[in-house]
Amino acid sequence: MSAVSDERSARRGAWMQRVQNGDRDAYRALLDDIGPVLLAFLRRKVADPHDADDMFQDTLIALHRARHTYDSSRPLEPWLFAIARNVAADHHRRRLARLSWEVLVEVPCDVPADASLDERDLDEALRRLPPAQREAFAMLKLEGLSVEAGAARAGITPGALRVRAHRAYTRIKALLQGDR
Amino acid sequence: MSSDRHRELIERLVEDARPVAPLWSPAVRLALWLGLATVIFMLTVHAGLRRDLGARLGDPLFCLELVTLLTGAVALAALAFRAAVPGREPGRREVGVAAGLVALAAVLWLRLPMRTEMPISEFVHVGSGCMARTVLLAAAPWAALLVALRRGAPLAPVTAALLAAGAAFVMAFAVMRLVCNLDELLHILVWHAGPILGGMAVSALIGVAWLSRWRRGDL
Repeated sequence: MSAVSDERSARRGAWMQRVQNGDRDAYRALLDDIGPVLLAFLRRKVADPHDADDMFQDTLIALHRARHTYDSSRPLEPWLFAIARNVAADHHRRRLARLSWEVLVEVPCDVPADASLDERDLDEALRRLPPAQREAFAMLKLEGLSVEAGAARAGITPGALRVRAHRAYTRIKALLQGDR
Repeated sequence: MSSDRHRELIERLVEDARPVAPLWSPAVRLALWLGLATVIFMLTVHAGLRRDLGARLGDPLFCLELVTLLTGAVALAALAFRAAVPGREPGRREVGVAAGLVALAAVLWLRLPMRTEMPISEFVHVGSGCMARTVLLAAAPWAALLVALRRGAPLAPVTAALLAAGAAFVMAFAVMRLVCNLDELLHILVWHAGPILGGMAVSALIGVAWLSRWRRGDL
């Protein structure tokens, strides 16, 4: 490391030590100093800048919760970037899980397409769903809203909407098959 | 840093910046943990050791087994404490060396006879007692390690929990080798080594459910 980066690292370490003592000015100075570096690091990890922004926020929250684990005799950067890397890895895992849910949700529900079904059966099955699941199904499959738009309208996350919709499909299928 | 959203979060974090007690270094925490393990060892010695211990300690392979087990347990505990500090997580090679020490001890068990002519009921009766004692010996060091990990910020909570269980149960296994009179491979595998695997499975669940909580909740 160069003398300048050594000095910067030492300054950050000193700020963090003061943060552990509850010094708010030092905390603001530290977060302002590391913010651009962290954001640049996270932007290299993902293509979507919105995802990088989300990861940045998660990293700051994780840093805040783990601030007691920083050892002031060591440089701050390995500690900081270990947290950021972990947040990025978590983000990728969640993204993969979300994609798999999307695959589940995008699988066309075979039951309504069945010609032998009476529309009244579907209405009855919908009526018997819990309200949250009925709303999810109606928004995505009857109104044709996107997952994001539906989630915004319901005031929940897209992931939660997908889960509700998937449960609704499963329940409708079971209800209709039970009626036959 | 022009984003209002980031600025708002920073202000919230700054507002919440209460003083915190810095975590003791992994070395200090390991020393305390070893103190607890020593107390348990002394209590075990007080309760009684195997009758043929003097003769067994004359066997270099038995001593090598004990040394590798104890060294492996201490190494696993050291790595567990490091796993709770971001940036100091153990690497695969370090975990491999610690696990390799335990594996070496396991290879040494192969010299033991598979099984003597013990009836199955006695095998279960004697074995279940050994299993209970192994769990009892491991319980306090295991719990202490998990609580210590929870105090930190384990970025890989399952790995941290597995290391904790490995350390506590391997330590208990080593102590049980000084207590149990039976040197039969089947007995050792089922009733002494079995709890290590069981403890690690339970610990992994604890890692998922409890050790990962440091990142959840409101500010």
